[in-house]
Amino acid sequence: MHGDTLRQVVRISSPSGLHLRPLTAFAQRAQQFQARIAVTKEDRSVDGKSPFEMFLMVSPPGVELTIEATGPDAQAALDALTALLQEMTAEDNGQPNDSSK
Amino acid sequence: MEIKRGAPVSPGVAIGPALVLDTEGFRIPRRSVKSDQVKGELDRLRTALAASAASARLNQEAVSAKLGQQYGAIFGAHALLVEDAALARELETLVREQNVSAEYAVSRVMRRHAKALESIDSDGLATRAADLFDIEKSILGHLLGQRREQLADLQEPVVILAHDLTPSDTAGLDQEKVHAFATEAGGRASHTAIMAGVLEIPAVVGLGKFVTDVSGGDTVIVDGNRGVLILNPDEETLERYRRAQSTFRSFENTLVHLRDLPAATKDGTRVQLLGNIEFPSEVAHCQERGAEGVGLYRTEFLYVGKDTDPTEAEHLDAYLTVLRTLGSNKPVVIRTLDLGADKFASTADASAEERNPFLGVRSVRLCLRNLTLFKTQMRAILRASAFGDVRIMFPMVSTLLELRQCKMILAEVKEDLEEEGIAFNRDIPVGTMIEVPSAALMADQMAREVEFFSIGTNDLIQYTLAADRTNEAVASLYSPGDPAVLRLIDSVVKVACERGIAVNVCGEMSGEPTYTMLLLGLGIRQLSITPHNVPEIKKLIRSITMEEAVQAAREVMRLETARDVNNYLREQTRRVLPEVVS
Repeated sequence: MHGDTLRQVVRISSPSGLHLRPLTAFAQRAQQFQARIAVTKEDRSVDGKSPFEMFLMVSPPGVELTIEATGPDAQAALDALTALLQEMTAEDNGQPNDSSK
Repeated sequence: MEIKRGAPVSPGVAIGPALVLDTEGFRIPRRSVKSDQVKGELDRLRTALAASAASARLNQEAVSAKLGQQYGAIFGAHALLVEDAALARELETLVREQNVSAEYAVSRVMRRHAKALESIDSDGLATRAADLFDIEKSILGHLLGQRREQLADLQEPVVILAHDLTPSDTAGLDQEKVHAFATEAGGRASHTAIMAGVLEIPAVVGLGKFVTDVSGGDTVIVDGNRGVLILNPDEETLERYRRAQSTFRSFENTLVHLRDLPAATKDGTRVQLLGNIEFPSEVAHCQERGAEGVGLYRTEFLYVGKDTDPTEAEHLDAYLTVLRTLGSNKPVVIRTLDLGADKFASTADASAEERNPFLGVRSVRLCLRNLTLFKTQMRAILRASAFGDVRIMFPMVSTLLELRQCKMILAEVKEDLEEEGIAFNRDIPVGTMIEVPSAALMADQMAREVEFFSIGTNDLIQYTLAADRTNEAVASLYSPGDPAVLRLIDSVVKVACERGIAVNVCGEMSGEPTYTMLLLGLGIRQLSITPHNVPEIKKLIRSITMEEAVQAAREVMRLETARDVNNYLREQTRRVLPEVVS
């Protein structure tokens, strides 16, 4: 059952897409989980724990990213990373978010 | 293989490893390493990555404290990228599998990714490529350490690729080790073009964006005859160019025998061919090619790339070196400083940004505001005049008043020297450049003040047509064959002949075979050109008659557009000497 892969699609709605800091922060957060994390955009899939690979993934506004987590804490990872992306998107949308620091 | 097209500014073909200069002056000198060095390269790479991550973290702290956390976080993100295992793996694989240096691997990988990002057309991606270049710089900084910015100390011959070369880039260049230039920006009058002419190496400028596509050590071909840059050529292309290279050399060899023959037309009109030089060492080029003296000695290199202005002794030393090599009976026209205020030490205070530097404080305008600087150079020129046929020339004079001021200051300096009992030639010939349209229009008045005119066509064309030829959008307006320019030249030559003063042409136009017939036909009997072009121009002069030249000039002055003029002259020139028409 550790081999189960959980998926979540996140639509990036922030006006400027995702850039250096959110993408590397995502990888940094992903590293805290045991589960393998893959992030797929269209047909391109990268290691969600690699800041460099995440950084190179072009994420313009409106793009849909599929987060895949495989491993013991897959669900927790998926929840945390989805929340993180949504939080960062919200931040970029200009909505107040005190927890961002 | 990738082919880029630009403007050919200096002939010849060169093949060699690329040395990419970016704005930081980094260079990646070496592409390959021996297989027993691979382990060492991997160690260097790991050390540099760790050091680069550590300095990014230090930056993060410093910037956070100064500007706030969200700015510092950028460097935190850089640190994460640099220490990413995926990046390390990619770099190490390249080093291991292709036996390349750590520097090459870093540059190659970063530029490949940057290019991929840039090719996707979306806002904000350009800054992402900039992040990659930042990281590249940081890692290279740790890899190269003290070895950056040492163009003076090249180990092997290279082809220099850059966005644009500045005088400070090239000031300390090891001439033996540079085989060609290719730049993204620039035009025929750019610094790159002038330097390439000086060094007699092939150069292509105005190539547009390519620096991100190439890594230091890549093999490149610079075709200075056709204005082509080829990145990573295939074997067939390489072979073709190797053959072309040897053909070009043998064409040049056919001109060698002209050295000691006079530059005279078939019907016996004598023309004096002088050389344009920048460094004292180029006098040798003049002599090898049979130039009869130096018609334009640019002195900017004494000023550029230094922390302090040159002393009188430094000026004098350079001038005397020229005189010693050339011999005291040959003319040397020394042009006083011809630069903008931003280019050198003492006027850094005047560096209040000018919105339009080419219409601002430069050349003689700068000197007249900085008399210490001006007088120091005049003293040295006057002192040199005791040892040979030295003449002094003022650049970028635009009014009669400026010219008179220059002469007044010269008179003061003469008086000083006289009082100090220092030898100089009291009758040193004084000339003015005619390169601003106002000076050309006032040539009859100017002629009363000087012994000679020198028509600086590069600036004259730029100012007459109000077109900067390094700006690709308007470069086509810039043509030596433009009828407006030709009318100015024609009137200046007529005035000089009437007043009995000497006149020559020293811009690049004078070294372009297409215009030789026209200039002779207009009455020019003295040309000052890049030494490299002397044999070609001489051969052309020896292939025409004055009658033909006068006829061609008469015809040209009737034409309405630069295009007609250029077509006509190319046709006429092709008729007498097809080899020189490209």
